[in-house]
Amino acid sequence: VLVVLRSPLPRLRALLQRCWGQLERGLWPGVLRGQSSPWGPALAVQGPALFPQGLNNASEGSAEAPSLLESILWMAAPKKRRTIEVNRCRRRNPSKLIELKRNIDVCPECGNLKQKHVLCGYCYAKVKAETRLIRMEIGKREGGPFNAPAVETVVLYDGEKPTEKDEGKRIIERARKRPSWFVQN
Amino acid sequence: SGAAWARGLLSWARPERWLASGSLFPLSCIHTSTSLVQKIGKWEKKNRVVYPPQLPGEPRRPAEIYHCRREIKYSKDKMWYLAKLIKGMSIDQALAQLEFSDKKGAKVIKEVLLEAQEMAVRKHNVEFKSNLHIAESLAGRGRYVKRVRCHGKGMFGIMKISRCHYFVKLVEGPPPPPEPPRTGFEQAKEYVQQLRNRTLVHTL
Repeated sequence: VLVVLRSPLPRLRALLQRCWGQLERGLWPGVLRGQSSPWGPALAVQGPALFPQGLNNASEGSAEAPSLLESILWMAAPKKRRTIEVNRCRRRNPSKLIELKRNIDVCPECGNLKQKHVLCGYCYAKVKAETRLIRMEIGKREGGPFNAPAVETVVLYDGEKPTEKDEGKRIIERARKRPSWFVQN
Repeated sequence: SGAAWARGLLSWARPERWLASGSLFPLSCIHTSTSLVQKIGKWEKKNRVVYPPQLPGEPRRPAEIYHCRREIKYSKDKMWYLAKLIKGMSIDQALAQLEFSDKKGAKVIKEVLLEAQEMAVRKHNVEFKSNLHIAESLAGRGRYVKRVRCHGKGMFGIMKISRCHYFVKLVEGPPPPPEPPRTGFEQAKEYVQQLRNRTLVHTL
């Protein structure tokens, strides 16, 4: 498959050449020169407004043509290359450097680092893994989607019996010792 | 002894021995050309410096560990910010800051620091793994690759996929205290001293 890729440079160059040609031929007298056009009156005296419509057309016409093509010539562009010293001053300004974090503590449970306002990542991962296994057990009990009973669920570990409070609840067995962080009732 | 040396030399030069063994030069693998093996960079060679044994009265020279990672898929300018953050910290503080930084390079630098810490304890005779601080940490430019980025209307631009290297030097001991900021009084004193140092040149 042939893909035609045109680079933007010849297009812009052609446009500029056209504009420059037009300027040289004097089609835009108002752009470069501050004086009046060569075929305008050398001496202008204020007289009666004979052709008000003509004046309006001329003003509208002169405003329309430049706004389309002249705006390209007057776009913002850098005047000089920014030196590496100036670039460094901008990039290494203290506002752009990474700030030191002062809200890091040690988790009292596992000893890993944690941010003060965030749960400890290690402890959260532990709880997540255990929750996943409990959910798999629940899935095996239910057998399919939309089979959740309308009663509460209680998780019991090795060697635990359901108490009086767990009368009507669904019991999920897990074949391991109760983890220290999972407090019973 | 001279005769024994000559005999040994001749025994080495016997051609039958070469044909008998499988490879002609069993020790040639050490001196192969660098076409197959990657060129060992200057930073990696800094770990091979061996100092002469210290005299009994000299203060103990702190252990220096150089480690680096090459061709990380990250920008060198962005990596520089992380390297600047870490400069001069103790290794525990640096690891803490990197763990909670959201930048992609933070994960890479953390792995590099942990590797360097393990190297220090195993090979460079460092007693306590927390007793290290970061003396130097730099980011360098890796190999760039140019690719075409398609724009609308059939235009295209050339983008460069940049990679960087990361270098770190760990030194044993607590981190050095930070330099106090220069006061106005200090600057004034230096200025006056400069004025006082002026002399007449090209005179008697």
